[in-house]
Amino acid sequence: MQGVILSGWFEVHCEGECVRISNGITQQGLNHALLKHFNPSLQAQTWYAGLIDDVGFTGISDSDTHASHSGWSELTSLASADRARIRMATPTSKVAIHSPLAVGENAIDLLPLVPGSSHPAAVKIRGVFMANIATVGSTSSGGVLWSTGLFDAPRTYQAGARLTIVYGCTASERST
Amino acid sequence: MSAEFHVTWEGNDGERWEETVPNGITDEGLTALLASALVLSQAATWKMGLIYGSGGDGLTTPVFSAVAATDTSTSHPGWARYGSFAEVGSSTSHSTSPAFSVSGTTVTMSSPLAFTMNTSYRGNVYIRGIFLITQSPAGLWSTGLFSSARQVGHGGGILTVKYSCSAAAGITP
Repeated sequence: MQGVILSGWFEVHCEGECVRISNGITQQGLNHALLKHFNPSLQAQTWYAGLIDDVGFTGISDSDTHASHSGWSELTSLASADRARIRMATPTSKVAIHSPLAVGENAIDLLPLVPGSSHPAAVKIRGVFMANIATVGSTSSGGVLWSTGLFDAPRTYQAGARLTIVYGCTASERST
Repeated sequence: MSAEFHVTWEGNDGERWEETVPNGITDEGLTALLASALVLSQAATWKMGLIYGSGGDGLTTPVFSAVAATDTSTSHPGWARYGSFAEVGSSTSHSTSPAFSVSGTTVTMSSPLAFTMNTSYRGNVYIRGIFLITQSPAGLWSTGLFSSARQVGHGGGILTVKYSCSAAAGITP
């Protein structure tokens, strides 16, 4: 028997370096996919990426949701109040690819270093997540946490750095 | 993880059989799922139909050869839809419409669908399987085949179908 298997990846670009990370689509994300496909409705899907803070990190889980992810928290010391927009192109051949409409819309700017400020000169980031709520730090129960992905090890980024996020996802069958 | 049709046949002659039919989700269906989840969920109408095997309707040449992952709603050269059940409409309406409920990572039909063989029909027809499709936008979601062709050749017999499918996360290297 076969079912659907969804797999995704993030690319994090910063200062000429690109790090690709696999990501696990949450149970909430899978539920969202089935709901939107099998229950007739007309609704555009809008997605955003945020950063998983290394501080307090203990782990990610398939059962994480937008409202509840006890093993991690979002890095909120950012220059913008909005998460990075992840605009997906219409999928073809079982693949969905991020397709930004404007330069920088899929970027996250870390807070710049300000003399005299208590803000650190660098931050450690554990990974990336994708959700359908724009506001940084939101844990709205109305949101969907689509996926989470971790770097192999925490990565240090300097204050003021711009991280550009790219996302892709494939669908396939799973034999059991 | 599984995706399957569960089919029960009750003929008016007392014959009864049931079979769990694994189904293959087409490339077109998987692409549409990604579009619904990540880009635009559309008000598609789901339809279910039967894959013709042989016999009946004045046809003597078997038309079924195979289903394929590359089958689409507009092109499935290895099979044809069967249409001698009361619920089957015109060539564009396909068949009766299921509704679905989603719980966790599994989708199931809210209630089984029943196809009633036209009571005037007395032929010796075989069906090969089931398909699930959307209309407006059109998209073939899945096809499933019986272990062998099933005879449904008595008018008034009822074919009852349930469907379920689950989703899982994978890792892309």
